[in-house]
Amino acid sequence: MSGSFTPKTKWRKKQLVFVWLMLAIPILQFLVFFVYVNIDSFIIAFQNFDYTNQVTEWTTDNFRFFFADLTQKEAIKTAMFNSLLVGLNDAVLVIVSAMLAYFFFKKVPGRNIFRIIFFLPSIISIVIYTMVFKYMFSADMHGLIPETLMAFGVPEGDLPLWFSDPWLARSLILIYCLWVGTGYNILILGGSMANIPSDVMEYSKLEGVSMFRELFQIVIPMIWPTISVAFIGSISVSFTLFMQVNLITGGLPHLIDGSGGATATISFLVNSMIGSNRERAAAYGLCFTAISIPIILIARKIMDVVNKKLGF
Amino acid sequence: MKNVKGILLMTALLSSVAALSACGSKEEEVQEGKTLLNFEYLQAGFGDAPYQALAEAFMAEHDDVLVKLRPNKDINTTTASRLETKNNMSDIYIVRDVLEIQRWAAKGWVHDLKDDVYSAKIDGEETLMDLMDEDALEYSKVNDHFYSVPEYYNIDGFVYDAALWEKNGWEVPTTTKELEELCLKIKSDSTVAPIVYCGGPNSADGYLYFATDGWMTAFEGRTNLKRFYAFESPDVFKPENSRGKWHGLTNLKTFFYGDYVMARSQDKDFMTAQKDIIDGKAAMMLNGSWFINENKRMLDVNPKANMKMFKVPEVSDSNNVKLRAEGYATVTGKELICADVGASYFIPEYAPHRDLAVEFLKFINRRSSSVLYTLNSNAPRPLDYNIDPTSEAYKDMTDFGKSVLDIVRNNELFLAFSKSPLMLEGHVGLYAKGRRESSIYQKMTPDEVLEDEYNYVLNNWDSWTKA
Repeated sequence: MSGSFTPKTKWRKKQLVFVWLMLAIPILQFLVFFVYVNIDSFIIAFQNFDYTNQVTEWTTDNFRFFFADLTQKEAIKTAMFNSLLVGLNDAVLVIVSAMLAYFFFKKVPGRNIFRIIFFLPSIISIVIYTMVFKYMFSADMHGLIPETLMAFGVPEGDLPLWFSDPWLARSLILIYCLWVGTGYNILILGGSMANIPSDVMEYSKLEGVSMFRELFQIVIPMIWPTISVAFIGSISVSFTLFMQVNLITGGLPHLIDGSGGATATISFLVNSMIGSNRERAAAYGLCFTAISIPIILIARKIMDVVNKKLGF
Repeated sequence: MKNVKGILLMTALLSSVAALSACGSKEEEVQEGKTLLNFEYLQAGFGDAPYQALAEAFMAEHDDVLVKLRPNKDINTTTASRLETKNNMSDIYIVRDVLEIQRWAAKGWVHDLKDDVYSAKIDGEETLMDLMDEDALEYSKVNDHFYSVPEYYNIDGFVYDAALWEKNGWEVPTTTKELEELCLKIKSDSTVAPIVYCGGPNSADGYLYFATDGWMTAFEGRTNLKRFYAFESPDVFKPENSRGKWHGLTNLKTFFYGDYVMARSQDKDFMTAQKDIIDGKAAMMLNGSWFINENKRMLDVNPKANMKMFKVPEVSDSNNVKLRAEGYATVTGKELICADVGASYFIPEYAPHRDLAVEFLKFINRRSSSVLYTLNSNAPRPLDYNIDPTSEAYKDMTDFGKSVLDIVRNNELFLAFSKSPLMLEGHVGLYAKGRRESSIYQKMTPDEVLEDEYNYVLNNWDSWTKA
């Protein structure tokens, strides 16, 4: 019956056109901003611009310089350490979010206030929120934290130097990530908790299971696949965190050898290199990607093993 | 039928999204019956005033042209894609990174200005090559081409409120010895902090390098600095060949990491530190010729403040004798101060109105235009034009502008740049690992810093030069 269309096949064809039209933009975006950009970065990593002769030449030197810098400059080691801190911080974030999501799930009193506090960062622009957060710690801006410390008798001259002490500056970024990331994770984990069959929860209630036991022995195992995704996502964030560092500390304070910033993450370090040598920045990016892939795969494997052991 | 309409609607929507994404690709060519010339520059400290003045003066001569100012704070990241796609492209740009212009030129995106601008008659019979100073000409030259024109020389020093100083009887120091005596006097006379700086995030590292570079330049002299910036051997980093840096870092420790600095300066952002100066809470701050443009609003509400600038005082010993390196030399016999090219003009090869942009750039480089530019920016251009106290232009300047021009006139400028591949490719700079002001803050001694730098350079020199 070729050549003749039934209303059903016509409808299917229209549906297909509609679906493909809807998919066209994200696919195009993926091709341009992921595939093209990554291929381009890969190519650039093997190039060098010769300013004397004004030509681009092929080379593997950028990778050689990565390993030389790794042993001789503080910047790379510090960026890797900071990214590791961010990854650990985000792992804590997932745990804290799971607990908070559980409290919301159990409809504990005062949950609406906490909901606003934790969701606010998810609906306000990151730039505005970061500025508000930053000014909370700024003595010059009469921020909440220094003003509170002074109200408790700390002299102005003895106030902590939040932005120029390496550990305090790092802690600012970690606290910010905890605060801002919680709302999003609560949303994801809370959604997963809402799908737990109500008879399971009723049974637990009838058995008189404590909230602590219910959370750790029933709820968390049942939403483990979602926790697993959030956790793996948090590890990848540690390799890509840039904006928060840029807005809060600008990578400062400087390292003692002057090679970079004490709060710079891997992503920040690569980004800050683009201005001086983009080819080397691309090579650094590739090297860090090579380091990150096995870490993420191992983390995924561990989460899968735990998932199997939990038996849900 | 309804579904067909739906699909058509969706298609139309997608098409409009696609069309919008290319919005601006066809820049309006004519506005109000005039040819539109888009002039794009970094939205920063100078504000719009100097560019507005140049645009108005050009339009007064060309009543068929409308120069549209396009201040862009993201110019460093947006320009490359506009040049590559030829979308939403301006006719003339000012960007900070001259090496970036060279990279774009290698891709054929930038117009060679050698014949159209550098060799053209700009002012009477004089060409731009005749008007431009030698260092700036060398700075802009790429093999046998010129892809950019320097906008201004960045002049820096200590900014202070002359009214406050006059009231307290404080005098401008000319040596580090006098600076130290002044800091002690300010501390004993008043509650004003002698020095404030902006060491906080995204605040140009407190501009501390203005001081360390200034002290190094003043000590080393032109010949030694030229030798250093040639980077012909690792020996230029030897501690015994780096005494200028040593003095810079030592003085940094004395003045910026000691008792003379305002509390919490290391955490301050640049606007707060600048406000401390204008409000009279601190006596001086390292800053540049853009200071009064950038702080216009704050100065408007503090009309009593009379801002001026003095150069970083000369390095001296405890007997107030100025110190000079072995082999110190200058061309004019005047004291040496460092300057750098703040930004550069360029014209895209495929600019919508390239010929008109060339005319505008030639106009900008006339002597009268340079005067106009300096009047509105307080920054000197690397060209030959009269801004002496006898000139009309000088009389019209603010006290701050006059103090900047006095620094330029009374000293010899050293333009710190290098054509060595080692520096251009980012292996070395004034320091090899990175700026070292923070090393001193973190209790490294200047000797340790110089030793560390030299060892690093020595270990890598062969690897860099082979590459």
